[in-house]
Amino acid sequence: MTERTTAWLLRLYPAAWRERYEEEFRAVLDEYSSGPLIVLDTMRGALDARLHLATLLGRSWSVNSRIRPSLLAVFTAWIAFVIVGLWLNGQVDDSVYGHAMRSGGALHVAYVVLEGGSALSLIAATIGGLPVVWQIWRRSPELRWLLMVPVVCFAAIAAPLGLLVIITANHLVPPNPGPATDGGHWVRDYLVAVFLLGAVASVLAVTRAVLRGHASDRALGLARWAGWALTASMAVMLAATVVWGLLAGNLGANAFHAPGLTNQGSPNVVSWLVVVAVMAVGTVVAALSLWRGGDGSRATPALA
Amino acid sequence: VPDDVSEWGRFSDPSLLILASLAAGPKHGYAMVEDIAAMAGVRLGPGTLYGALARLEQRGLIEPLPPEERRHPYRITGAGRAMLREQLRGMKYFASEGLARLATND
Repeated sequence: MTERTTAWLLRLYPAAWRERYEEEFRAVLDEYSSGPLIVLDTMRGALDARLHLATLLGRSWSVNSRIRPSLLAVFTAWIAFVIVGLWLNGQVDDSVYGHAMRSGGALHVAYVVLEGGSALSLIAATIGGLPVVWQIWRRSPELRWLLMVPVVCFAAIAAPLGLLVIITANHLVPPNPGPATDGGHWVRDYLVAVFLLGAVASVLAVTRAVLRGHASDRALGLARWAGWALTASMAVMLAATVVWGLLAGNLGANAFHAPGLTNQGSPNVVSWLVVVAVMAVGTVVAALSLWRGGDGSRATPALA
Repeated sequence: VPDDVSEWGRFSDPSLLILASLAAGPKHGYAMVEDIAAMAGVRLGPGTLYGALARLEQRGLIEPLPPEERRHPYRITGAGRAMLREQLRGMKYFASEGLARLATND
């Protein structure tokens, strides 16, 4: 291989890689006869070096140590998003806006976009999270109990809910029991408390497992891309919620501007602003965390 | 870098070939290429060779020796021998199992 070709091919590699391997790599290249396949293979090697420089030079842990907290910040922001989203959903059901939303129009479209964003975020969280969780489950058996915490929390909510459905389906209670009784409030308060405690416990447990468990670069890389998709869907939901609130304010001005945290269970300007504020903070935190967590190339300075 | 060589994507096979080549003794880059070509009929390109060498070195499966002029020899480590042995045992089991099944259905 000519000196000129060798020099050109070496310039394709990152500076940090050349610092470590240039001399011996140049000696090896001199032994090869020049040909398109050799040039192509060397170019593929340069691309690999640029994509995986940190791994090749033994800095994978420093990269992982930045990606993991950023992914966990996205996960935490998303859980907060889910909580306020469900709160808003609970208020909208049977609210004064129900008729306007069922009859179509802009209010309906905004809410459909919000629901579509939540579905996309769930898909992104599943695609990004499951491979990481599976690898930790497989490779770090001592951390499995932490991964079981969300399952137990879900069961603590699903079991009484399922029991209620069974009781209602078998007409063990009247279909129209009238105004909520103290017992009804107790069940609702229990579910809300368990849901909030379960969300916090799940986030803490998953955080601990992901920080201490063993997950491959590939799984973490996939989770990072899924994290960006999740953040994008959060931004869509935020925009839809803002639009929904503005439209709802115009539609039912008096009801929307009623005092209190909510208007007798229906959304008002205060509850809407709380939801928007949490969603906005969550979206910004998720985006900043992913951006600061960066990828392998950003974690290593000498890429020129 | 994942613990298991089989998870190294397109560098899995070259890495095993390099470990097998170095199992016979230390070699520099191009000597490995020649040895692997003679042993397995595969000629590694320079980009593939150094992608695999860097991963093996980072994982502690091989280590560099003092340079001989411009050439830098490498040798396999104890961890590299253990990894190679484990991988070859898996292949041996797979090969014998596959041959046995073929023989059963022939």
